[in-house]
Amino acid sequence: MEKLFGKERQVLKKAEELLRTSQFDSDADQKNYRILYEEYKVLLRQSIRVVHLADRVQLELKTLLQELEQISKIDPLTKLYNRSFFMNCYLEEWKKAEQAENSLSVLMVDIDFFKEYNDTYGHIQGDTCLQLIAEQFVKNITAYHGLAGRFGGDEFIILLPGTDLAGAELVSEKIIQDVRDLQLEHTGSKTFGKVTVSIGATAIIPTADIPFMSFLQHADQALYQAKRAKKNNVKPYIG
Amino acid sequence: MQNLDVGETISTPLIHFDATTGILEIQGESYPENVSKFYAPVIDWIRAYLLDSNHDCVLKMNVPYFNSSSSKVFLILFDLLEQNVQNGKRIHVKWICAQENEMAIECGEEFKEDLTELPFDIVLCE
Repeated sequence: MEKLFGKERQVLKKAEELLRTSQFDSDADQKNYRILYEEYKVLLRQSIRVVHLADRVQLELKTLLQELEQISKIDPLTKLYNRSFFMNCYLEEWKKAEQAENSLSVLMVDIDFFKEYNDTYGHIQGDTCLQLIAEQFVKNITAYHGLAGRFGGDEFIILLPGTDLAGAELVSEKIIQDVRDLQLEHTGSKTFGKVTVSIGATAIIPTADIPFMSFLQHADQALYQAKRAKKNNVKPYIG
Repeated sequence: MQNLDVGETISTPLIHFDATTGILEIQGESYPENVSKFYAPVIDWIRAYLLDSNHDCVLKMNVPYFNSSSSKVFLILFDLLEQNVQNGKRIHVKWICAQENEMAIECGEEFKEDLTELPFDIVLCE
């Protein structure tokens, strides 16, 4: 492709050539032609400038839009998906799984004695703890094409498309182990004196007659069982 | 000559042209639905003013955001001012932008590039 304004520049060149070689019937013709040539030159310069300015503004807007999109999806602290974006993804995956008659797993994760952690170590260290734990999710779910979201303060949710309950429990065990391996001291914890997590796991093959929200409640109930039992463990939902 | 005053709206800037002091201000975002309709009286006023007055003239523009049609009008305006400078008028443009508004600063630099005789200063403000 020739340059963006190549054709216009060629027109200018031709006009200059004509003016130089004086192929005009009269001086008046040549004068009028020169006036038109000069006007065209100015207008072309303006057009080029407008296009440049528009490109610049559009690029800026595009960058801002990308930033906004990122902000609207991501929890700024943990870099996991925020609740509303996670729910959009969840709904989509639910529909896909229903169509393909595929299983879908959800893990509901909660940090054990996190209130006590914040009370003991302060909120800044509490934030660091949340970030470290979020990293363990990402590490363990990438191979499963999983999605992780921050649901509330220290509550997280993980979606594992195409994964059954056995797979969900396996991932949960690995997350529990990896969090324990972080060896984050937690004197206020009644488990090991270290930061630990509890997980409620549930799996389903979605059908049209199952309300998709009830599935999340199952995971929540399983998490409740895990917390009530001994914490630092995973409990599957038994319907 | 009468001053020109147009109030700011969400998509059109404030216009305050003072014929006595020669200070012409355009301030606010510019993306009018009908750019020609909005700016025709503005350009007409400046044209008449430049014919009428030999006063030094400062155009202060603080337009943090503008659409492509507005930029075409600004180019027409700057060309008009440049012609008048070539004819001996003393005109000065101040393109005012907030320090952090890189887009407005860069656009000011683009405008400046085409001008050879019209003084055009980019003024950064807090």
